[in-house]
Amino acid sequence: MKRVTPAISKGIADNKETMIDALYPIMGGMISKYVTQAIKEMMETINKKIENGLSVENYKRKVKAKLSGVSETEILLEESSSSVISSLFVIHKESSLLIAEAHLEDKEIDDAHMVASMASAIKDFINDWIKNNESHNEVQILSYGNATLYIESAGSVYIVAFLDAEPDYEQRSKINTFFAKIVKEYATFFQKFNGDDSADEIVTLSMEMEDYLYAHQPIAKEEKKNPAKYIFFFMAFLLFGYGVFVFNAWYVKNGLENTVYSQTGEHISISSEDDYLVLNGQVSSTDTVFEIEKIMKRHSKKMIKNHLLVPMTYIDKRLKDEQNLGTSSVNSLEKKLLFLERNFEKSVNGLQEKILILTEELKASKKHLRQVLEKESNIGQFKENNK
Amino acid sequence: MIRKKILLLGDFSVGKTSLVKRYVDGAFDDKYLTTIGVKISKKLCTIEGIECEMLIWDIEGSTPSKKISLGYYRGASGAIFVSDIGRRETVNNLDEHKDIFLSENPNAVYVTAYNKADKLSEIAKENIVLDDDTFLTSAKDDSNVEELFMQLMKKMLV
Repeated sequence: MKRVTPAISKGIADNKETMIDALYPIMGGMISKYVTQAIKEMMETINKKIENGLSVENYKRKVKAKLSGVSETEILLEESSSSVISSLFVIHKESSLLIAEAHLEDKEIDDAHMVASMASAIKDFINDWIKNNESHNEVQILSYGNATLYIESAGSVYIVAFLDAEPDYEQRSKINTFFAKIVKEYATFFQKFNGDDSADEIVTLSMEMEDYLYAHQPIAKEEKKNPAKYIFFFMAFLLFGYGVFVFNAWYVKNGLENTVYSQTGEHISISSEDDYLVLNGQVSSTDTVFEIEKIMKRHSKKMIKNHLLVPMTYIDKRLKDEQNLGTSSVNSLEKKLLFLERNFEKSVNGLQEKILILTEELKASKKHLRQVLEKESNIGQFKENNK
Repeated sequence: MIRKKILLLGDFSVGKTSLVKRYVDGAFDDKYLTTIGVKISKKLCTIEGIECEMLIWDIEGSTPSKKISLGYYRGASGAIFVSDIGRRETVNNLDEHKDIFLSENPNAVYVTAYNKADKLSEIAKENIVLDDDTFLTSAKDDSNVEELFMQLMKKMLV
Protein backbone atom coordinates (compact mmCIF):
# COMPACT_ATOMS: atom_id res chain seq x y z
CA MET A 1 0.00 0.00 0.00
CA LYS A 2 2.83 2.32 0.84
CA ARG A 3 4.18 1.90 -2.69
CA VAL A 4 0.82 2.29 -4.37
CA THR A 5 -0.32 5.43 -2.55
CA PRO A 6 2.52 7.69 -3.79
CA ALA A 7 1.96 6.31 -7.29
CA ILE A 8 -1.72 7.30 -7.14
CA SER A 9 -0.80 10.69 -5.72
CA LYS A 10 1.68 11.25 -8.54
CA GLY A 11 -0.85 10.02 -11.09
CA ILE A 12 -3.42 12.50 -9.80
CA ALA A 13 -0.86 15.30 -9.68
CA ASP A 14 0.23 14.64 -13.26
CA ASN A 15 -3.28 14.21 -14.68
CA LYS A 16 -5.34 16.41 -12.41
CA GLU A 17 -7.91 17.37 -15.03
CA THR A 18 -8.35 13.80 -16.26
CA MET A 19 -9.01 12.73 -12.68
CA ILE A 20 -11.53 15.53 -12.19
CA ASP A 21 -13.34 14.51 -15.39
CA ALA A 22 -13.50 10.92 -14.16
CA LEU A 23 -14.61 11.82 -10.64
CA TYR A 24 -16.99 14.68 -11.40
CA PRO A 25 -20.04 12.50 -12.26
CA ILE A 26 -19.54 10.50 -9.01
CA MET A 27 -18.60 13.37 -6.72
CA GLY A 28 -21.40 15.48 -8.16
CA GLY A 29 -23.94 12.86 -7.03
CA MET A 30 -22.45 12.59 -3.53
CA ILE A 31 -22.36 16.32 -3.03
CA SER A 32 -25.87 16.50 -4.41
CA LYS A 33 -27.11 14.10 -1.66
CA TYR A 34 -25.69 16.26 1.10
CA VAL A 35 -27.00 19.41 -0.50
CA THR A 36 -30.43 17.77 -0.87
CA GLN A 37 -30.48 17.00 2.85
CA ALA A 38 -29.49 20.57 3.67
CA ILE A 39 -32.20 21.89 1.38
CA LYS A 40 -34.79 19.63 3.05
CA GLU A 41 -33.92 21.07 6.43
CA MET A 42 -34.08 24.55 5.02
CA MET A 43 -37.52 23.82 3.53
CA GLU A 44 -38.81 22.59 6.87
CA THR A 45 -37.64 25.80 8.49
CA ILE A 46 -39.31 27.86 5.77
CA ASN A 47 -42.50 25.79 6.16
CA LYS A 48 -42.66 26.68 9.84
CA LYS A 49 -42.19 30.32 9.04
CA ILE A 50 -44.90 30.21 6.42
CA GLU A 51 -47.33 28.51 8.80
CA ASN A 52 -46.91 31.40 11.20
CA GLY A 53 -47.29 34.08 8.53
CA LEU A 54 -50.57 35.94 8.00
CA SER A 55 -51.47 37.39 4.63
CA VAL A 56 -53.96 36.86 1.81
CA GLU A 57 -51.22 35.38 -0.37
CA ASN A 58 -50.31 32.97 2.41
CA TYR A 59 -53.88 31.76 2.68
CA LYS A 60 -54.12 31.40 -1.11
CA ARG A 61 -50.93 29.35 -1.04
CA LYS A 62 -52.28 27.25 1.82
CA VAL A 63 -55.45 26.47 -0.15
CA LYS A 64 -53.41 25.63 -3.26
CA ALA A 65 -51.14 23.37 -1.20
CA LYS A 66 -54.14 21.53 0.32
CA LEU A 67 -55.78 21.05 -3.07
CA SER A 68 -52.65 19.96 -4.93
CA GLY A 69 -51.01 17.98 -2.15
CA VAL A 70 -47.73 19.87 -2.71
CA SER A 71 -45.99 21.55 0.21
CA GLU A 72 -46.26 25.32 0.54
CA THR A 73 -42.51 25.74 0.27
CA GLU A 74 -42.40 23.95 -3.04
CA ILE A 75 -45.20 26.17 -4.31
CA LEU A 76 -43.33 29.20 -3.00
CA LEU A 77 -40.14 28.09 -4.73
CA GLU A 78 -42.06 27.29 -7.91
CA GLU A 79 -43.67 30.73 -7.84
CA SER A 80 -40.33 32.44 -7.38
CA SER A 81 -38.69 30.33 -10.09
CA SER A 82 -39.15 31.91 -13.47
CA SER A 83 -35.88 31.27 -15.25
CA VAL A 84 -35.72 29.84 -18.74
CA ILE A 85 -32.52 28.41 -20.19
CA SER A 86 -32.20 29.90 -23.65
CA SER A 87 -28.69 28.73 -24.55
CA LEU A 88 -26.04 26.28 -23.46
CA PHE A 89 -22.29 26.46 -24.12
CA VAL A 90 -19.63 23.88 -23.49
CA ILE A 91 -16.30 25.67 -23.31
CA HIS A 92 -12.81 24.23 -23.33
CA LYS A 93 -11.30 25.29 -20.03
CA GLU A 94 -7.71 25.43 -21.19
CA SER A 95 -8.15 27.54 -24.31
CA SER A 96 -11.52 29.15 -23.55
CA LEU A 97 -12.65 28.01 -27.00
CA LEU A 98 -16.29 27.15 -27.52
CA ILE A 99 -16.63 23.42 -28.17
CA ALA A 100 -20.39 23.15 -28.64
CA GLU A 101 -23.44 25.37 -28.35
CA ALA A 102 -27.22 24.96 -28.40
CA HIS A 103 -30.02 27.53 -28.40
CA LEU A 104 -33.76 27.72 -28.27
CA GLU A 105 -35.39 28.91 -31.48
CA ASP A 106 -34.83 32.68 -32.04
CA LYS A 107 -32.43 32.79 -29.09
CA GLU A 108 -29.18 32.39 -31.02
CA ILE A 109 -26.26 34.37 -29.63
CA ASP A 110 -24.28 36.45 -32.11
CA ASP A 111 -20.52 35.88 -32.02
CA ALA A 112 -20.94 32.91 -29.72
CA HIS A 113 -17.20 32.19 -29.84
CA MET A 114 -16.34 35.67 -28.69
CA VAL A 115 -18.97 35.56 -25.98
CA ALA A 116 -17.57 32.24 -24.80
CA SER A 117 -14.05 33.67 -24.70
CA MET A 118 -15.19 36.83 -22.95
CA ALA A 119 -17.18 34.86 -20.36
CA SER A 120 -14.07 32.78 -19.78
CA ALA A 121 -11.93 35.87 -19.42
CA ILE A 122 -14.30 37.39 -16.87
CA LYS A 123 -14.50 34.09 -15.01
CA ASP A 124 -10.70 33.67 -15.04
CA PHE A 125 -10.19 37.23 -13.87
CA ILE A 126 -12.62 36.85 -10.96
CA ASN A 127 -11.24 33.42 -10.06
CA ASP A 128 -7.69 34.77 -9.98
CA TRP A 129 -8.77 37.71 -7.87
CA ILE A 130 -10.72 35.51 -5.44
CA LYS A 131 -7.84 33.05 -5.12
CA ASN A 132 -5.64 35.96 -4.14
CA ASN A 133 -8.20 36.71 -1.48
CA GLU A 134 -7.99 33.40 0.30
CA SER A 135 -10.81 31.41 -1.25
CA HIS A 136 -10.90 28.45 -3.58
CA ASN A 137 -14.39 28.62 -5.02
CA GLU A 138 -15.18 29.19 -8.66
CA VAL A 139 -17.46 31.79 -10.20
CA GLN A 140 -20.87 30.22 -10.72
CA ILE A 141 -23.18 33.11 -11.53
CA LEU A 142 -22.58 36.10 -13.77
CA SER A 143 -25.54 38.41 -13.89
CA TYR A 144 -26.43 41.57 -15.78
CA GLY A 145 -29.99 42.81 -15.45
CA ASN A 146 -32.22 39.87 -16.32
CA ALA A 147 -29.47 38.03 -18.18
CA THR A 148 -27.77 35.42 -16.03
CA LEU A 149 -24.94 33.05 -16.87
CA TYR A 150 -24.77 29.95 -14.73
CA ILE A 151 -21.31 28.37 -14.90
CA GLU A 152 -20.50 24.84 -13.76
CA SER A 153 -16.95 23.66 -14.08
CA ALA A 154 -15.37 20.21 -14.42
CA GLY A 155 -11.80 19.19 -15.23
CA SER A 156 -11.23 20.23 -18.82
CA VAL A 157 -14.49 21.94 -19.72
CA TYR A 158 -17.20 24.04 -18.22
CA ILE A 159 -20.80 24.52 -19.13
CA VAL A 160 -22.46 27.92 -19.34
CA ALA A 161 -26.25 28.17 -19.19
CA PHE A 162 -27.80 31.45 -20.34
CA LEU A 163 -30.95 32.23 -18.37
CA ASP A 164 -33.37 35.12 -17.96
CA ALA A 165 -33.19 34.91 -14.17
CA GLU A 166 -31.06 33.28 -11.54
CA PRO A 167 -31.62 29.50 -11.59
CA ASP A 168 -33.19 27.86 -8.56
CA TYR A 169 -31.80 24.82 -6.78
CA GLU A 170 -33.78 22.39 -8.92
CA GLN A 171 -32.59 23.95 -12.16
CA ARG A 172 -28.98 23.98 -11.01
CA SER A 173 -29.29 20.39 -10.00
CA LYS A 174 -30.71 19.43 -13.40
CA ILE A 175 -28.01 21.34 -15.29
CA ASN A 176 -25.29 19.74 -13.16
CA THR A 177 -26.74 16.27 -13.72
CA PHE A 178 -26.82 16.86 -17.47
CA PHE A 179 -23.29 18.26 -17.35
CA ALA A 180 -22.04 15.22 -15.42
CA LYS A 181 -23.58 13.03 -18.10
CA ILE A 182 -21.84 14.78 -21.00
CA VAL A 183 -18.53 15.01 -19.14
CA LYS A 184 -18.67 11.26 -18.64
CA GLU A 185 -19.67 10.63 -22.24
CA TYR A 186 -17.17 12.98 -23.95
CA ALA A 187 -14.29 13.11 -21.43
CA THR A 188 -11.70 11.80 -23.89
CA PHE A 189 -12.83 14.13 -26.64
CA PHE A 190 -12.74 17.15 -24.31
CA GLN A 191 -9.21 16.38 -23.19
CA LYS A 192 -7.96 16.10 -26.78
CA PHE A 193 -9.85 19.11 -28.13
CA ASN A 194 -7.53 21.32 -30.22
CA GLY A 195 -9.90 23.89 -31.70
CA ASP A 196 -11.00 21.74 -34.66
CA ASP A 197 -14.78 21.99 -34.89
CA SER A 198 -15.19 19.35 -37.62
CA ALA A 199 -15.27 16.46 -35.14
CA ASP A 200 -18.41 14.27 -35.16
CA GLU A 201 -18.60 14.48 -31.37
CA ILE A 202 -19.43 18.20 -31.60
CA VAL A 203 -22.50 17.46 -33.73
CA THR A 204 -23.85 14.79 -31.39
CA LEU A 205 -23.02 16.86 -28.31
CA SER A 206 -24.83 19.90 -29.75
CA MET A 207 -27.88 17.75 -30.48
CA GLU A 208 -27.91 16.41 -26.93
CA MET A 209 -27.67 19.94 -25.57
CA GLU A 210 -30.50 21.13 -27.79
CA ASP A 211 -32.67 18.19 -26.72
CA TYR A 212 -31.97 19.11 -23.12
CA LEU A 213 -32.99 22.73 -23.71
CA TYR A 214 -36.31 21.81 -25.29
CA ALA A 215 -36.99 19.05 -22.76
CA HIS A 216 -36.61 21.53 -19.90
CA GLN A 217 -38.59 24.33 -21.42
CA PRO A 218 -41.36 25.46 -19.05
CA ILE A 219 -44.36 25.58 -21.40
CA ALA A 220 -46.60 27.52 -19.05
CA LYS A 221 -44.14 30.39 -18.96
CA GLU A 222 -44.57 31.09 -22.65
CA GLU A 223 -48.27 31.65 -22.34
CA LYS A 224 -49.10 35.32 -22.22
CA LYS A 225 -51.15 36.47 -19.30
CA ASN A 226 -54.64 37.20 -20.55
CA PRO A 227 -56.97 38.95 -18.05
CA ALA A 228 -60.06 37.67 -19.92
CA LYS A 229 -58.87 34.12 -19.30
CA TYR A 230 -58.67 34.73 -15.55
CA ILE A 231 -62.13 36.37 -15.53
CA PHE A 232 -63.48 33.37 -17.43
CA PHE A 233 -61.92 30.97 -14.95
CA PHE A 234 -63.23 33.04 -12.05
CA MET A 235 -66.78 33.00 -13.49
CA ALA A 236 -66.49 29.29 -14.20
CA PHE A 237 -65.34 28.77 -10.63
CA LEU A 238 -68.31 30.72 -9.28
CA LEU A 239 -70.74 28.80 -11.49
CA PHE A 240 -69.17 25.54 -10.44
CA GLY A 241 -69.44 26.52 -6.77
CA TYR A 242 -73.10 27.47 -7.24
CA GLY A 243 -73.70 24.21 -9.10
CA VAL A 244 -72.16 22.24 -6.26
CA PHE A 245 -74.33 24.12 -3.74
CA VAL A 246 -77.53 23.49 -5.73
CA PHE A 247 -76.69 19.85 -6.32
CA ASN A 248 -75.90 19.32 -2.66
CA ALA A 249 -79.21 20.91 -1.58
CA TRP A 250 -81.10 18.80 -4.14
CA TYR A 251 -79.30 15.64 -3.04
CA VAL A 252 -80.10 16.22 0.64
CA LYS A 253 -83.75 17.13 -0.11
CA ASN A 254 -84.21 14.16 -2.41
CA GLY A 255 -82.66 11.83 0.15
CA LEU A 256 -85.03 13.04 2.88
CA GLU A 257 -88.08 12.74 0.61
CA ASN A 258 -87.12 9.16 -0.24
CA THR A 259 -86.59 8.33 3.43
CA VAL A 260 -90.04 9.68 4.31
CA TYR A 261 -91.64 7.72 1.47
CA SER A 262 -89.90 4.48 2.39
CA GLN A 263 -90.95 4.76 6.04
CA THR A 264 -94.48 6.18 5.71
CA GLY A 265 -95.52 5.63 2.12
CA GLU A 266 -96.32 9.34 1.83
CA HIS A 267 -95.04 11.66 -0.95
CA ILE A 268 -94.10 15.05 0.44
CA SER A 269 -91.91 17.89 -0.90
CA ILE A 270 -89.06 19.45 1.08
CA SER A 271 -87.53 22.87 0.46
CA SER A 272 -84.86 24.92 2.19
CA GLU A 273 -85.46 28.36 3.67
CA ASP A 274 -82.52 29.92 5.51
CA ASP A 275 -81.92 27.56 8.42
CA TYR A 276 -85.28 25.79 8.06
CA LEU A 277 -86.48 22.76 6.18
CA VAL A 278 -90.02 23.40 4.95
CA LEU A 279 -92.29 20.38 4.60
CA ASN A 280 -95.12 20.67 2.10
CA GLY A 281 -97.75 18.28 0.84
CA GLN A 282 -100.79 16.32 1.94
CA VAL A 283 -100.69 13.24 4.09
CA SER A 284 -103.43 10.88 5.01
CA SER A 285 -103.48 11.32 8.78
CA THR A 286 -102.36 13.48 11.65
CA ASP A 287 -100.35 10.55 13.00
CA THR A 288 -98.34 10.50 9.78
CA VAL A 289 -97.65 14.23 10.15
CA PHE A 290 -96.03 13.64 13.53
CA GLU A 291 -94.18 10.58 12.30
CA ILE A 292 -92.70 12.52 9.36
CA GLU A 293 -91.58 15.27 11.71
CA LYS A 294 -89.81 12.68 13.84
CA ILE A 295 -88.06 11.26 10.75
CA MET A 296 -86.90 14.75 9.71
CA LYS A 297 -85.46 15.42 13.15
CA ARG A 298 -83.55 12.15 13.04
CA HIS A 299 -81.99 12.88 9.61
CA SER A 300 -81.36 16.63 9.66
CA LYS A 301 -80.06 19.12 12.16
CA LYS A 302 -82.03 21.96 10.61
CA MET A 303 -85.15 23.35 12.20
CA ILE A 304 -88.44 22.33 10.65
CA LYS A 305 -91.41 24.27 9.35
CA ASN A 306 -94.17 21.71 9.06
CA HIS A 307 -96.76 22.74 6.46
CA LEU A 308 -98.13 19.25 5.91
CA LEU A 309 -101.93 19.01 5.52
CA VAL A 310 -104.43 16.28 6.21
CA PRO A 311 -107.42 17.10 3.88
CA MET A 312 -111.09 16.58 5.03
CA THR A 313 -111.66 14.28 2.09
CA TYR A 314 -109.06 12.00 3.55
CA ILE A 315 -110.85 12.08 6.96
CA ASP A 316 -114.32 11.46 5.38
CA LYS A 317 -112.92 8.66 3.35
CA ARG A 318 -111.29 7.17 6.39
CA LEU A 319 -114.50 7.40 8.42
CA LYS A 320 -116.48 5.82 5.62
CA ASP A 321 -113.89 3.12 5.32
CA GLU A 322 -114.09 2.49 9.05
CA GLN A 323 -117.94 2.47 8.87
CA ASN A 324 -117.91 -0.05 6.06
CA LEU A 325 -115.44 -2.10 7.95
CA GLY A 326 -117.72 -2.03 11.08
CA THR A 327 -120.81 -2.96 9.08
CA SER A 328 -119.10 -5.83 7.42
CA SER A 329 -117.80 -6.99 10.78
CA VAL A 330 -121.34 -6.88 12.31
CA ASN A 331 -122.79 -8.81 9.35
CA SER A 332 -120.15 -11.37 9.65
CA LEU A 333 -120.78 -11.73 13.37
CA GLU A 334 -124.54 -12.07 12.82
CA LYS A 335 -123.98 -14.82 10.29
CA LYS A 336 -121.71 -16.60 12.67
CA LEU A 337 -124.30 -16.24 15.49
CA LEU A 338 -127.05 -17.63 13.29
CA PHE A 339 -124.86 -20.51 12.33
CA LEU A 340 -124.13 -21.17 15.99
CA GLU A 341 -127.83 -21.00 16.90
CA ARG A 342 -128.66 -23.55 14.21
CA ASN A 343 -125.90 -25.79 15.33
CA PHE A 344 -127.12 -25.41 18.89
CA GLU A 345 -130.69 -26.37 17.96
CA LYS A 346 -129.43 -29.38 16.07
CA SER A 347 -127.35 -30.36 19.04
CA VAL A 348 -130.32 -29.96 21.44
CA ASN A 349 -132.55 -32.07 19.21
CA GLY A 350 -129.88 -34.71 18.99
CA LEU A 351 -129.51 -34.73 22.74
CA GLN A 352 -133.26 -35.04 23.32
CA GLU A 353 -133.37 -38.02 20.98
CA LYS A 354 -130.44 -39.54 22.78
CA ILE A 355 -132.18 -38.91 26.16
CA LEU A 356 -135.33 -40.69 24.91
CA ILE A 357 -133.25 -43.59 23.67
CA LEU A 358 -131.40 -43.74 26.95
CA THR A 359 -134.71 -43.50 28.90
CA GLU A 360 -136.11 -46.43 26.89
CA GLU A 361 -132.93 -48.36 27.43
CA LEU A 362 -133.10 -47.56 31.15
CA LYS A 363 -136.72 -48.84 31.34
CA ALA A 364 -135.69 -52.01 29.55
CA SER A 365 -132.76 -52.45 31.93
CA LYS A 366 -135.00 -51.96 35.01
CA LYS A 367 -137.46 -54.49 33.64
CA HIS A 368 -134.66 -56.91 33.01
CA LEU A 369 -133.35 -56.33 36.54
CA ARG A 370 -136.77 -57.04 38.08
CA GLN A 371 -136.96 -60.23 36.10
CA VAL A 372 -133.49 -61.24 37.33
CA LEU A 373 -134.47 -60.43 40.91
CA GLU A 374 -137.68 -62.41 40.57
CA LYS A 375 -135.70 -65.31 39.21
CA GLU A 376 -133.28 -65.12 42.15
CA SER A 377 -136.14 -65.09 44.69
CA ASN A 378 -137.75 -67.98 42.92
CA ILE A 379 -134.46 -69.88 43.03
CA GLY A 380 -134.19 -69.05 46.83
CA GLN A 381 -137.63 -70.33 47.56
CA PHE A 382 -136.91 -73.41 45.59
CA LYS A 383 -133.75 -74.09 47.58
CA GLU A 384 -135.62 -73.70 51.00
CA ASN A 385 -138.31 -75.89 49.88
CA ASN A 386 -135.84 -78.55 48.95
CA LYS A 387 -134.18 -78.44 52.41
CA MET B 1 -12.60 25.04 -39.19
CA ILE B 2 -9.65 25.37 -36.84
CA ARG B 3 -9.93 27.88 -34.00
CA LYS B 4 -6.96 29.16 -32.06
CA LYS B 5 -6.56 31.44 -29.09
CA ILE B 6 -3.79 33.99 -29.53
CA LEU B 7 -2.58 36.71 -27.19
CA LEU B 8 -1.14 40.16 -27.77
CA LEU B 9 1.34 40.91 -25.03
CA GLY B 10 3.62 43.81 -24.29
CA ASP B 11 4.10 46.96 -22.23
CA PHE B 12 1.60 49.79 -21.96
CA SER B 13 0.95 51.95 -25.00
CA VAL B 14 3.00 49.95 -27.50
CA GLY B 15 0.05 49.72 -29.94
CA LYS B 16 -1.39 46.25 -29.28
CA THR B 17 -5.00 47.40 -29.59
CA SER B 18 -4.18 49.43 -32.72
CA LEU B 19 -2.64 46.37 -34.38
CA VAL B 20 -5.76 44.31 -33.63
CA LYS B 21 -8.03 47.12 -34.85
CA ARG B 22 -6.05 47.43 -38.06
CA TYR B 23 -6.04 43.67 -38.69
CA VAL B 24 -9.65 42.97 -37.74
CA ASP B 25 -11.44 46.19 -38.76
CA GLY B 26 -8.91 47.66 -41.21
CA ALA B 27 -9.00 50.94 -39.26
CA PHE B 28 -6.70 53.15 -37.20
CA ASP B 29 -7.38 55.75 -34.51
CA ASP B 30 -4.48 57.69 -33.02
CA LYS B 31 -6.39 58.47 -29.81
CA TYR B 32 -4.91 56.42 -26.99
CA LEU B 33 -7.37 54.51 -24.81
CA THR B 34 -5.78 52.17 -22.37
CA THR B 35 -7.15 48.62 -22.37
CA ILE B 36 -8.53 47.42 -19.07
CA GLY B 37 -8.49 43.67 -18.58
CA VAL B 38 -8.88 42.09 -21.98
CA LYS B 39 -10.66 42.78 -25.24
CA ILE B 40 -11.42 39.82 -27.45
CA SER B 41 -11.76 39.98 -31.24
CA LYS B 42 -11.94 37.34 -33.91
CA LYS B 43 -10.68 37.10 -37.45
CA LEU B 44 -11.28 34.53 -40.15
CA CYS B 45 -8.49 33.61 -42.48
CA THR B 46 -7.55 30.86 -44.91
CA ILE B 47 -4.02 29.46 -44.96
CA GLU B 48 -3.05 26.88 -47.56
CA GLY B 49 -6.70 25.95 -48.04
CA ILE B 50 -7.39 25.56 -44.32
CA GLU B 51 -10.08 27.77 -42.90
CA CYS B 52 -9.04 29.22 -39.58
CA GLU B 53 -10.45 31.57 -36.99
CA MET B 54 -8.23 33.50 -34.60
CA LEU B 55 -9.66 34.52 -31.27
CA ILE B 56 -7.43 37.42 -30.46
CA TRP B 57 -7.05 38.32 -26.78
CA ASP B 58 -5.81 41.89 -26.63
CA ILE B 59 -4.56 41.98 -23.09
CA GLU B 60 -3.91 45.12 -21.06
CA GLY B 61 -0.36 46.31 -20.99
CA SER B 62 1.85 45.03 -18.24
CA THR B 63 5.26 45.80 -16.77
CA PRO B 64 7.42 43.94 -14.27
CA SER B 65 5.74 45.94 -11.52
CA LYS B 66 2.21 45.25 -12.76
CA LYS B 67 1.43 41.67 -13.59
CA ILE B 68 -1.70 40.50 -15.36
CA SER B 69 -3.97 37.59 -14.56
CA LEU B 70 -2.32 34.31 -15.54
CA GLY B 71 -5.75 32.96 -16.40
CA TYR B 72 -5.59 34.97 -19.62
CA TYR B 73 -2.44 33.14 -20.74
CA ARG B 74 -3.88 29.69 -20.26
CA GLY B 75 -4.55 27.62 -23.36
CA ALA B 76 -3.18 30.07 -25.90
CA SER B 77 -1.72 28.47 -29.00
CA GLY B 78 0.26 31.53 -29.97
CA ALA B 79 1.25 35.04 -29.00
CA ILE B 80 2.34 38.28 -30.59
CA PHE B 81 4.83 40.19 -28.45
CA VAL B 82 4.58 43.87 -29.21
CA SER B 83 7.03 46.66 -28.40
CA ASP B 84 7.31 50.31 -29.39
CA ILE B 85 10.41 50.61 -31.56
CA GLY B 86 10.79 54.17 -30.35
CA ARG B 87 10.90 53.14 -26.64
CA ARG B 88 13.93 51.03 -25.81
CA GLU B 89 12.57 49.72 -22.47
CA THR B 90 9.52 48.20 -24.18
CA VAL B 91 11.85 46.21 -26.44
CA ASN B 92 13.96 45.14 -23.47
CA ASN B 93 10.88 43.93 -21.57
CA LEU B 94 9.89 41.56 -24.38
CA ASP B 95 12.02 38.75 -22.98
CA GLU B 96 10.21 38.88 -19.67
CA HIS B 97 6.81 38.76 -21.41
CA LYS B 98 8.02 35.76 -23.42
CA ASP B 99 9.23 33.95 -20.30
CA ILE B 100 5.92 34.34 -18.50
CA PHE B 101 3.97 33.27 -21.57
CA LEU B 102 6.12 30.20 -22.28
CA SER B 103 6.06 29.12 -18.66
CA GLU B 104 2.26 28.84 -18.96
CA ASN B 105 2.23 27.51 -22.54
CA PRO B 106 5.50 25.68 -23.21
CA ASN B 107 4.32 24.33 -26.58
CA ALA B 108 2.96 27.59 -27.92
CA VAL B 109 4.51 29.59 -30.76
CA TYR B 110 5.02 33.34 -31.08
CA VAL B 111 6.05 36.20 -33.33
CA THR B 112 7.41 39.62 -32.42
CA ALA B 113 6.36 43.05 -33.58
CA TYR B 114 8.46 46.23 -33.37
CA ASN B 115 5.54 48.55 -33.72
CA LYS B 116 5.16 52.23 -34.60
CA ALA B 117 7.68 51.77 -37.42
CA ASP B 118 6.11 54.79 -39.15
CA LYS B 119 8.16 56.93 -36.77
CA LEU B 120 11.45 55.52 -38.11
CA SER B 121 13.32 56.88 -41.07
CA GLU B 122 13.87 54.60 -44.02
CA ILE B 123 17.60 54.44 -43.21
CA ALA B 124 16.90 53.38 -39.63
CA LYS B 125 14.54 50.67 -40.88
CA GLU B 126 17.19 49.30 -43.22
CA ASN B 127 19.68 48.99 -40.35
CA ILE B 128 17.41 46.81 -38.24
CA VAL B 129 18.09 43.08 -38.66
CA LEU B 130 14.98 40.92 -38.51
CA ASP B 131 14.33 37.15 -38.62
CA ASP B 132 11.26 35.43 -40.14
CA ASP B 133 9.29 35.75 -36.90
CA THR B 134 10.01 39.40 -36.23
CA PHE B 135 8.31 42.27 -38.01
CA LEU B 136 8.62 46.04 -38.19
CA THR B 137 4.96 46.98 -38.08
CA SER B 138 2.85 50.10 -38.22
CA ALA B 139 -0.86 50.02 -37.51
CA LYS B 140 -1.04 53.61 -38.68
CA ASP B 141 0.48 52.87 -42.11
CA ASP B 142 -0.91 49.33 -42.26
CA SER B 143 2.60 48.04 -42.65
CA ASN B 144 3.31 44.29 -42.11
CA VAL B 145 0.21 43.87 -39.91
CA GLU B 146 -1.41 41.19 -42.08
CA GLU B 147 1.96 39.45 -42.48
CA LEU B 148 2.49 39.43 -38.71
CA PHE B 149 -0.76 37.63 -37.96
CA MET B 150 -0.49 35.27 -40.94
CA GLN B 151 3.00 34.20 -39.93
CA LEU B 152 1.75 33.37 -36.45
CA MET B 153 -1.18 31.38 -37.84
CA LYS B 154 1.13 29.43 -40.15
CA LYS B 155 3.38 28.56 -37.21
CA MET B 156 0.38 27.42 -35.17
CA LEU B 157 -0.82 25.11 -37.96
CA VAL B 158 2.55 23.41 -38.45
